[in-house]
Amino acid sequence: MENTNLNEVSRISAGTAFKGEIITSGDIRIDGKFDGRLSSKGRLVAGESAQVNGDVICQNVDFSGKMNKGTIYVADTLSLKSGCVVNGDVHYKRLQVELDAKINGNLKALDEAEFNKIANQAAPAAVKPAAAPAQTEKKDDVAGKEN
Amino acid sequence: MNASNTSSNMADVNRVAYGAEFVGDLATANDIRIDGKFDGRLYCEGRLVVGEKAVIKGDIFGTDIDFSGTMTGGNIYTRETLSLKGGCSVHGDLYFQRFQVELDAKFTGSCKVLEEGEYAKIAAPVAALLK
Repeated sequence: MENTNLNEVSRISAGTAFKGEIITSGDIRIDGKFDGRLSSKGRLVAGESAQVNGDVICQNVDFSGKMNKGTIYVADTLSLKSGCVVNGDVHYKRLQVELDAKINGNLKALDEAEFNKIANQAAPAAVKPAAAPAQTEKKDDVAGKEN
Repeated sequence: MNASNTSSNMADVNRVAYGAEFVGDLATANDIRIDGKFDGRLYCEGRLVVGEKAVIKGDIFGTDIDFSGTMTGGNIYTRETLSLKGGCSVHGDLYFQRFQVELDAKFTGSCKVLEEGEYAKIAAPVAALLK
C-alpha cells in the first residue's frame, strides 16, 4: 500500500537541480533546487534543503525550504514550517505559520474562483504540447519514412 | 504524510511519477526514476531508470541507463552501460561504452561507442546546471 503511494510522489532530491515547468496530478517532494513553475493537483512538500524560485500552484503546501523569489498559490492549506524562508507573495485559502518561519512578502487569502483562474492560466500552456495526439502524429511520420 | 516519512535511501532517488510532466532541464548527482513524461534535457550522475509508461523527448545523459519506456525524439548518452529492455521504443541515436538489448526492444537510429572523455564533453552544457 505504501509502495503504490510512493510511486505517485514525484521527487527532486537534494543534489538535484531542475529548471523548467512541472505539471502533475499527484504529490511532489522537493529537497533540491527548483527554478520555474510548478503546478500540482496534490500536495507539495518542500524540505529544509529545498530552494525554490518561481511560481508554485498547488492544492496543499508544506514549506520548510527557501524561496528566493516567486509566488505561492494554494487552493487549500499552506503550512509554513519553522526555519523556512519565503521571499515572495503567498496566496492561500487557509494558512498555518510556525514560530521561526520567515516571510518577506504579502499574504493574501484566496477564494476558489480566484485560484481556479490562476491554475487554468498556468496549466493549459504546458499541457498542450505533450498532449497525446501530437505524439501519435510524430510516430506516424517516422513509420511513413520507413515504408 | 508518506512523502516525508521515507528512508534516506529512497529520498536520494529523483522521481517523475506517472501522471507528472516535467518540461525543462534536470541535472542530478543521484539516481532518477521516470514513469511520467519528460520533455527536455536530463543529466544523471547515478543510475537512470526509465519505466514502461515513461515518455521522453530530448537528450538524456546517464552513467548507467535502464530504458523500458518510449523515446519520441532525442539521443541517449551513456557513460557506462546502456540497457534497452523488452517493450521499449526508441527513436534516436545511442551513445555508450557497453550496450545490451533485450528481445522486443524497438529501436530506430544509430549506435556509437563513446571515446574517453567524449561523454563529459557532450554532457557539459547540461551538467553545468548542477553548479
